Amino acid sequence: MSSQGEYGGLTRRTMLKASGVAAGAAAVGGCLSMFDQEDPPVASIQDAEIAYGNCWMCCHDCSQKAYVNDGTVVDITGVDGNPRGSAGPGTEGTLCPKGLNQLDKTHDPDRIKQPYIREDGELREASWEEAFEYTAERLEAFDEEHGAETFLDAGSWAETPIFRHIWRDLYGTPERIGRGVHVCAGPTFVAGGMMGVGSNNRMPDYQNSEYLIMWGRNPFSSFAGQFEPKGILEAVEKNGATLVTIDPQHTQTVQKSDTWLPIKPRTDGALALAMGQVIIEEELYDEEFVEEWTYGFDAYREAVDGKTPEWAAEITGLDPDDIREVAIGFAEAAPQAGISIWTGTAQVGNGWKAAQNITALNGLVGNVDRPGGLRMWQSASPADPFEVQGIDLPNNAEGKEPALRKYEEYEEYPVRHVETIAHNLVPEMVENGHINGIYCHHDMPLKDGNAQGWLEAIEEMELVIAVDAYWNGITRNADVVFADATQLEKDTIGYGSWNSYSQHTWITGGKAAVEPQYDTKPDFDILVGIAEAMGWGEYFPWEDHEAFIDDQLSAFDLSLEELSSGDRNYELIDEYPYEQWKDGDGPAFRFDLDQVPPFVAAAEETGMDTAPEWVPPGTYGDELSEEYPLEFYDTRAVYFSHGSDQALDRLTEKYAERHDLEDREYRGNYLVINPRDAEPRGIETGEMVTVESETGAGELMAYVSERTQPGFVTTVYGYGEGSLRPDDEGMNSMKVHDTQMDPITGQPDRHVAVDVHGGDG
Amino acid sequence: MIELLDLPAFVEFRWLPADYWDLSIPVYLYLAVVAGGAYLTGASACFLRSLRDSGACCLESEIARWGFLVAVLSAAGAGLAVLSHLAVVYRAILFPIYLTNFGSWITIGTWILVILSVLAVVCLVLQLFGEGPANDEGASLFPRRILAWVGFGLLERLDRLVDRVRPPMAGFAALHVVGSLFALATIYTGFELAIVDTVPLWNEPVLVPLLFLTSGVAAGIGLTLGLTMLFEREIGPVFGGYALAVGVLSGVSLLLVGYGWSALATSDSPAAAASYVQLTDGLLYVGVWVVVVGFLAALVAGLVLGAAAVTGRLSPSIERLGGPALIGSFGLLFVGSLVLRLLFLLAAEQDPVVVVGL
Amino acid sequence: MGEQWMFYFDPNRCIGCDACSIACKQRHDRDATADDWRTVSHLKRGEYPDFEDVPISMSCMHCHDAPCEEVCPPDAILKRDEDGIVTVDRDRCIGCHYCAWACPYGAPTYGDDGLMSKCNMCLGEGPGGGHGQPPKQKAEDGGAKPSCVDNCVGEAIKAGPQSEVMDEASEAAARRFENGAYGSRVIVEPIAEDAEAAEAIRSGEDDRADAWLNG
Repeated sequence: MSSQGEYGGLTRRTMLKASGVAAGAAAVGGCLSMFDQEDPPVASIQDAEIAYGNCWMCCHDCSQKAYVNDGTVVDITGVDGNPRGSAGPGTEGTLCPKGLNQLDKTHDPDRIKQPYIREDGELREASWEEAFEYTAERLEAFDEEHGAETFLDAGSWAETPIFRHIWRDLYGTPERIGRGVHVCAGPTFVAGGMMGVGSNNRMPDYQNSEYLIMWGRNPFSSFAGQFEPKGILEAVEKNGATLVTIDPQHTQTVQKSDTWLPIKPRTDGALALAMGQVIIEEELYDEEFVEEWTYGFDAYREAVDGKTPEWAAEITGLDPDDIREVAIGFAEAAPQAGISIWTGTAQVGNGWKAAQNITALNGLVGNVDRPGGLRMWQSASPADPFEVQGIDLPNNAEGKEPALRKYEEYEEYPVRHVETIAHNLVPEMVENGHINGIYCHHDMPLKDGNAQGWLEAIEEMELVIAVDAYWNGITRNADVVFADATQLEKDTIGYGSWNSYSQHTWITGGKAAVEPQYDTKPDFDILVGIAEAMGWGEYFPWEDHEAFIDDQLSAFDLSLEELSSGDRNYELIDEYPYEQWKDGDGPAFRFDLDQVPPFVAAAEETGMDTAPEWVPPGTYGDELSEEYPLEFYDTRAVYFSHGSDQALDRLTEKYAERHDLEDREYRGNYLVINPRDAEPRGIETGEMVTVESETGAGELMAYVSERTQPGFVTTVYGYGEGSLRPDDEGMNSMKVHDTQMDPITGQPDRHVAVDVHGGDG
Repeated sequence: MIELLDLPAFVEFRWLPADYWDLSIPVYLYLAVVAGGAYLTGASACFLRSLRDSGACCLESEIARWGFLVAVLSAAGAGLAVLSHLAVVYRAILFPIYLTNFGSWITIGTWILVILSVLAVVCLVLQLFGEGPANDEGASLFPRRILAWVGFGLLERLDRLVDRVRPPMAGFAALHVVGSLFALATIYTGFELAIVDTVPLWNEPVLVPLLFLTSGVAAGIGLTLGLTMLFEREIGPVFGGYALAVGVLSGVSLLLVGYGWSALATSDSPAAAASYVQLTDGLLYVGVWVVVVGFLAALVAGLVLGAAAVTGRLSPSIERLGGPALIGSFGLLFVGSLVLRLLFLLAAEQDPVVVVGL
Repeated sequence: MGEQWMFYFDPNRCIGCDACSIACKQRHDRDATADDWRTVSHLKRGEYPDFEDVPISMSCMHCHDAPCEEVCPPDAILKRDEDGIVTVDRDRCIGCHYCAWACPYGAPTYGDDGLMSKCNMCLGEGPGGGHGQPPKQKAEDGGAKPSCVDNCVGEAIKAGPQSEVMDEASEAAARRFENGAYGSRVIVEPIAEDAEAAEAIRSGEDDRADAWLNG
């Protein structure tokens, strides 16, 4: 078993005292240890100082409270009533298992403890000054040799917006890859946006809902802020809400649901059309809303015509009566009925139509921005510190075309009409010399599709700048590695949209709980350091991140000090009403996207209709075959977010315990396989098996369970080659993946046709 | 669609791990009673000797010395076994200070074992040294030879000391009666298990202590007898009487095992059922047969040969085989009786926690 | 004599996330691989799609009759009069493991030092940290909320003096507790569908209803 997180036999807090008692203990020698076996001294949280902040383990800003003793974080918990980490006023604020582990992460001796630069092919320890100078030299040389426009900004998880100003506005690159659209849930985000609801199709107004459909989602294990599971539990308990889950796998959300539709993977689009057909046939749709506030209903009506539950039953493997019942239940509860979609229906080749067909149901029943339905969430608007300081930033990326749109090599990819980059295509762009460098900020593209291509591309790139806390496939291959501080060592501010207060915008923040441990720095300081070395210091006059945040907070007449003093560190800002679309001009909702030019262009090239329609699996992705008869998909567990928590022992231990495999030394991911697939292959729980697709393979430990559908095998992603597991333990789930994607958004299609071999049987 | 409401109510258990004790504990539980059985053998041999009033040199003296020696060694073995399991040995050694809960069978048992050990040592010393033993002969006197070899006049000094403190006859009787009571008190080993409510296999407050006593005492007598017989091959009425006792105790043990087995097999408790499955499946099943064969062999050999010897009907041809047969069957008994305790530990299952459900 | 503190658990609100067991270990500064004082186990049954997986969070229940205390030879385990919390004095423990056999919940754990440690309701911190502490205070009176309670994402775990916990429990859970379910050692909410099944039995005047309420 890994001994990471232990301090050579000493635990965190004993380490504090160890030096003090060392001399005394040495004098008494071994006698003491033979006789009185003292408990390790533990610093009481009662005497600790309290520091507030935002949790950033999954980047969703649950407020947190840290207990600090002698510069060490000794305990951490949530803040009651906070918008993201509680169910609202008067309720308990908590941190999830990932969030709790910030404590270990902060004091983890396996962190990257200082900057590194590459010299003669090897990474060596460097001072901060050296690292900044080195970075500036390399960036300047890169610009001269390859052009700044071939440098890719992958600063996804930065906790400050200034990285965009540095790479786009100052360095001048138009290349930018994000997480949301590009690898997380492209169809959900983009289809939602084009249909008029933004990406709010992910997050219903839980607390006011009476009917909730978790469609390809498991918010009891994989949530974007704990207000999600908490809000659902409240809706079930207080409103008597019906909870429906549509998922091929049994999950903790399924366990708590009134109804589970164990759908065949990749057939969600058909189910959604059939539900629409029932709702129209039963005349349960919101005629007034459809008539007055939507566009393209005729095309939708035509699209669902004849798509009866019986038709969908054939495709989805569900019972037609069940489809009818859920459709009617949803429509009757509307507008206090919401659907949540995110990655489950999006990381699929036919995910665009799944997103479009499912989102259409919201328009149909008229739950858009009504209590308990699809809420049009608003965010607080902090001030732009550059404006506050009167700083005029240049736009050096102006007029530069991203390679995807610029070069004819990519003309066959319809995604170029909708997006400026596609995750799966980056390796090809590197090969073509159109991308030659990358800035990775806690980003781990190696685990997100076309993994083999990316592994090679990272090695190929001329310049890799990494900001991270752990050694992984990116940092190990970087030319310069900046040791990032953790959230507990940084000043923080958060002001997202959805939360447990249905009608309020909010902000939350706090000052660093402890000094950066080892020789690390907060990302704000790292970015400013790079900027200063590049000669852009004039644009960054702030003394520190707190001063920058204070400028942001000036819009609310607040300072970070004020925000995070007292017994909480969040504020509700503005109250906003429901039915905000009444104030807008034009339709609130579009069923047909024939008036959205980028989509029309992309759809034309792919042969898609602009209205909802049924696209069978395999049209844009893998088809199951005799050789590869199993459908593989990667998932999340409550213990890990974006594949960067696997370094933390408490989490990997719990993941092993969850599978009753804690007694094994292996701490990689597990392949969940149904006994009906495992038995004929002679596979038993605890055996190492190989997953093989047409383009790649990987090895991991099998977990035979009835929780997954026969024919459907899954694992948690973020393990294996290129990950931060010691010795690349486990399987990089995307090693079996190539360039399968949704053609409209470029979202990697993570459903891969595979077979599984091995076991001892 | 899965209508969860249609499913029958969720009645499930959580099984607890049941591996809190390592194998030193059954050894401890066993040797303590073996010490008791051997002590009883020694004390009773002294009593028989006093009835015959035949001086020092006789079979009863040999049995008495072997008995007390086995008692001392077994008690010491039991002590070491239990100490090897504990985390803080010195606290157990300071038991008069630390073990204050006299409601705990471990506290009670510690006192019983310690007192029995002390009494057994005293009895052994009284039987090994002094004028009588100095003029006696027999294999069991080997400690004297060892002390003589060591020299420094140790042996002589001990003889003189024992002669000076040797109690009168009534004192001996009192010592042996008290010692025998403590020997019988090793029944506590059964209570140590039997009061654990959470383990149905153990929780038989009459059966388990009784079984531990009869089987352990039988093994203690058998071991003493076997050692004596290695050097004294003649199977007379005294041997016969002891063999008969071993046979009877083994028979009673077998009956108790049988009764317990049927109780386990018919129990409604899921933990009892799990224990039963373990005992009828795989390696433990072999162990069950070792126990049965051990008790059965001692029962048959003890009863048949013992009864024949007591009544003087042992033909010379059978007598030649009788010695090895008794030694062999007592050996099987000794092993079976230990395995019995190992099975009690290895097949132990704690009642699962009823966590949810009707 | 103070009022007995006890735990409450609602499986309907437990999402099986393990925040409780991780928070427990962090509060008490225990290694990732050390045995858990609070465990989350999953009870599974059935075949896909009739599959169920119910998460259950458990720890020492601080039983009113504390079987561990009764068997502990050196009196290292104490059922406190003042708050009913069961603590362990590790300066007396001999590491005999007798308490683990006696415990109906598998609560005692043993580290490399062989000494027993278990939940002390965050009366103190660290193994043995509860021993000799002043009476447990409620959070509003400045006491430390048990870490598992404080960090339970679903608010499925509660702890407090018995009367207060009873007030927060559903009628069915409270009645079951009073009638001796779970040995009256912990208050557990019935799983929703179980409660409804029991209601159905009750309305049909089936005598199984009494059996259910009596645990």
